[in-house]
Amino acid sequence: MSPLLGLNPLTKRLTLQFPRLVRTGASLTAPSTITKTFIANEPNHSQAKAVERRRVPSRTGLVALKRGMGPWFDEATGVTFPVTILEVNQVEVILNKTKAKEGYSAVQVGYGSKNPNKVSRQLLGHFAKAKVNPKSKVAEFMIKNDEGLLPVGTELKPSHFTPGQYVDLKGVSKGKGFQGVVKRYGMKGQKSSHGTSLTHRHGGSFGANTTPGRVLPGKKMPGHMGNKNVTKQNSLVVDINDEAGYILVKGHVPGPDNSFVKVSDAIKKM
Amino acid sequence: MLYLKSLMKVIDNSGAIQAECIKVLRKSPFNYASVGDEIVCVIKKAKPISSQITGASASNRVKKGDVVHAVVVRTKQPVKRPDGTVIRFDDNACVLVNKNKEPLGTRISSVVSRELLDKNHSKIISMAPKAI
Amino acid sequence: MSFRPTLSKVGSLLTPLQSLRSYIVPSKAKKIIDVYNPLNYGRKDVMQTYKDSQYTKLDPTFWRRDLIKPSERNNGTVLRSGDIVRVMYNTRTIPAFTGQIIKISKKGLDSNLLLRNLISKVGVELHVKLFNPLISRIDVVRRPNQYKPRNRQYYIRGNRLDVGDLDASLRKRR
Repeated sequence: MSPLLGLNPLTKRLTLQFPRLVRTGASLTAPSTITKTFIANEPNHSQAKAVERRRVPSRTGLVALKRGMGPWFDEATGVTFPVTILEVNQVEVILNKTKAKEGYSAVQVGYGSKNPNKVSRQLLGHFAKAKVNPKSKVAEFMIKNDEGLLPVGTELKPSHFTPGQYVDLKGVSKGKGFQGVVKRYGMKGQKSSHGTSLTHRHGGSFGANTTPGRVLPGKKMPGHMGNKNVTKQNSLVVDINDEAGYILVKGHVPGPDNSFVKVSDAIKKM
Repeated sequence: MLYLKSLMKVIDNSGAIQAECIKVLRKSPFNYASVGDEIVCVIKKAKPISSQITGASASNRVKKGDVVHAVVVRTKQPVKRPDGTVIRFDDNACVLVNKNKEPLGTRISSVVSRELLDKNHSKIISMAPKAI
Repeated sequence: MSFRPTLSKVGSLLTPLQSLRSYIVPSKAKKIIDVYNPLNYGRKDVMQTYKDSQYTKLDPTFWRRDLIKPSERNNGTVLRSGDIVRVMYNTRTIPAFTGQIIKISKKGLDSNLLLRNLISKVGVELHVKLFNPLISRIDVVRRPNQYKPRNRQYYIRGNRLDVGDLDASLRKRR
């Protein structure tokens, strides 16, 4: 049983009902015909079970800054591929969230440094409590249980990851503005001639007429493209360097250069 | 990138000069033929059959209209290698093979690509004057 | 019907503010918050350190960089389009390739050459990455009497300006 539900007096009362008797069947029939089933355990669709089922890494990740791309050559085989350079600079643990207090386990880390005059007094107090300098970026990493928590003030270096392992990368993609369906969803559009009138890059019909009499939800239409959270899963860590403070990751990373990226262990390789 | 209706040179001594692809023996989504892939083709142009040629090459002789299997040995489309090298030839060419992937001809007249080695066509490589 | 609290105007005027509820007197003195110093490393630009580390790893003797960048070591002579070069590999599985340069792209670690040759009457073009660790050396075999005023000489393909069989012509010279 999760302490999250244990804290709330309302949910605490509910959870005490297991094991319990549940009436099933129609209520209009005679009371003697109503069947009763005995539920021994908590049902699988409860919130606490959902938190347990959720795939999260067992240890924290770190925040990095995307700096650019370059080539990588393997000296023995000559195999080459592009890599992304992620800078790791003054990444420290600020706060630990525990199951007993917040209902889930998480580690809050901060990146880099910021001019204290440009940080709000609320955040300055938050950093002072952890005895770290004011950070330019604060991010939280949910972890499986309290065993993965780190002492406040611990510095996370690139050697947190090892070359050869796989990581998940979360970033905010480049904003493309208001775009049509051809660019946004890769629709084909229509012919450029043969009687086509003003609908060359159009998505076609939006739906039927009287039935259903409305546009169905989820219809792909023009709108804002990009500038949203994107996760790239299973990226290979090629190289790390603690002195210079960078991680090399195979392939591309969502977002423009000089944007923050959350790096954590790949959930599908655990 | 060779697919239906693509024309290519035949560079062995089986008697064929030009072939047209009618089927790529490769699974989708890569439904085009690159170097080392097997195709089915029809002979469009062939040398006239003369009685002077004897031996194994005579029995494997093909004529215009024959439907045969072939292996693509070089393409105009650039092919990328793991070490970053990209190779491109000025024409598309193939070598005729039988069902067991053994070449019909006994000689190959011009250069072939080294990608054949990765796809187990080492016999074609050994017959070719040069493999790049 | 909605509920609204009624206020007795007379009473609120008469009673002092402090007696109504616990009133906090605003203090102008701000609480002092500690600000800790950042962990100072004095690091250089990360991209530059990455590039430097790759250069020292792949090209410790500067011979690859000297092919495309004028320096004291090469007296300012660098590769140009029109030169005929031979690329040698340090593995036996990859044969050496001779060709005329028809394009040089100078993009740092991504620099590459486009070589063209005519082998058994078939034009062959090879993009060669300059910093490929499998390449042991790149020799200039011949330089032209007069350079064409272009870096990208794609227009020579398939006409009278095209390269001949370079292997045969080099053999004839010797």
